[in-house]
Amino acid sequence: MNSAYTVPAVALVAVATAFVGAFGLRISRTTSDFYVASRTVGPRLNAAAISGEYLSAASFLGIAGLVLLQGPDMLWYPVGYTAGYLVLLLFVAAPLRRSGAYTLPDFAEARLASQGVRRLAGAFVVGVGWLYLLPQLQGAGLTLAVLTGAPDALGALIVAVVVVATVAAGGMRSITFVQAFQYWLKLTALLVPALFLVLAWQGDGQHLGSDLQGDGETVAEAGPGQGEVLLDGVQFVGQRGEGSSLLHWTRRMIEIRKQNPAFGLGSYTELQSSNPAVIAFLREYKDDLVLCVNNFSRFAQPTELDLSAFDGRHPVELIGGVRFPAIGELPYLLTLAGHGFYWFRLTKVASRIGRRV
Amino acid sequence: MPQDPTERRVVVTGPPRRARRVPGQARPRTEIAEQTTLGHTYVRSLIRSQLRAALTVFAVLVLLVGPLPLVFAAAPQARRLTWVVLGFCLYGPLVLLARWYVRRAERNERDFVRLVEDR
Repeated sequence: MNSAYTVPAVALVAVATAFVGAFGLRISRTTSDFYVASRTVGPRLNAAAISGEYLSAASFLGIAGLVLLQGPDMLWYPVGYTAGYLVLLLFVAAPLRRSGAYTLPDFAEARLASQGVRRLAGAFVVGVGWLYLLPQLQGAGLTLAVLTGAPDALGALIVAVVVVATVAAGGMRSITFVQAFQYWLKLTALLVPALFLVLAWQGDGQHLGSDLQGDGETVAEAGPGQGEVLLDGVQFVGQRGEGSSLLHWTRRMIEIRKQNPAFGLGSYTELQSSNPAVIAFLREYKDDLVLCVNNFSRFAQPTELDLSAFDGRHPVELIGGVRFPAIGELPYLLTLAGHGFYWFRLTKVASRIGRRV
Repeated sequence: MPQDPTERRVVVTGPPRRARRVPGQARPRTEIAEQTTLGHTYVRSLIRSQLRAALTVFAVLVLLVGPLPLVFAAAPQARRLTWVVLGFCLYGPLVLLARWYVRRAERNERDFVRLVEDR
């Protein structure tokens, strides 16, 4: 995404959020209005708002990453959130609602008749809120800085202003509308690319068999597959020959990932990188050995990797099929463009000669 | 009794639904409002029944989720089973449990209201 679209997109979301918040404004203002929207929020709207809270980069990408690294056992995390909500309903939400209290400190005081407990509960609420807000604001600043090159604090400032204005003006009703709106926005933003990837993955499955049986290294010659049959109606298919379109690029990535099962199934070993902005890891599955190097910085970065365990092998860059110099005893030097990455397959020289003959 | 007897007769012959606002007649209500021992017992019974519903659902949840790690450890195709159960199958029962609890709690409240209004 280039930054020509980013600034208007961020502005659009901020304005839409403020607008949705204003839609929830009610003129009559009571305590009940402010804290619980006078109990007018239905279950569907409330469910969307709570899901909007939990459908974050941490829960979506984080769990995908954990499952990738450590297997399906990590699916316990979302189960834990959900079961946690059930326990919350049983022992906190329902009794709190029945008691007529608006906040947890209110409830604690009403139930235990102690001012000290009230203060303690208040301190916990503020502490949890603090711990929750800090990474959120940091993430907002980081995202905006990466996307547009804005100063780090700007993203946090925009989020703080929009949210505080919405809450202060509209109370619980406005913020429920805002969260429900964000839920549907985020869900769409995640589902559309996911659907696109699934379609492209399905579409490229057909010529996979023949490629896998052949030499896994001749990926450079692999021409356009049957993917366009499925995606024929899509407008940008016309560009597919050029190799620069998003469709072509995505299909190419999927092809490569399918030819190297180590991407999906392999073990994961992180490598020591001399540069903290560069993350390098190895994935190994049977005889398939893939080295991924990622530059997380906006600027070009060099790194030295200790690959002496693979002395004598040649890294083959998977997108272009270019053979890099052989690995030796010395640290392997790589330079990466800003936000650049390499996918290498580490091939044994002997087996390559064997296949060529 | 400040009310005249004709009005009271209407109440007796009709189904005892709404016209029960005769003072001195809604005894449990005043018992609760005045916080007598009997009123306290009424409220306690409601709180108890709500707590019982919550504990029942919690017990079912523990029995449902607790043995799963053992099942995964024992199953031959553990990875696949983990995906199917944790990724998809477990959420339905959790939603059903929550729904059962909410209905149960609302019924407890309705029963209590009926008890208070009808006696």
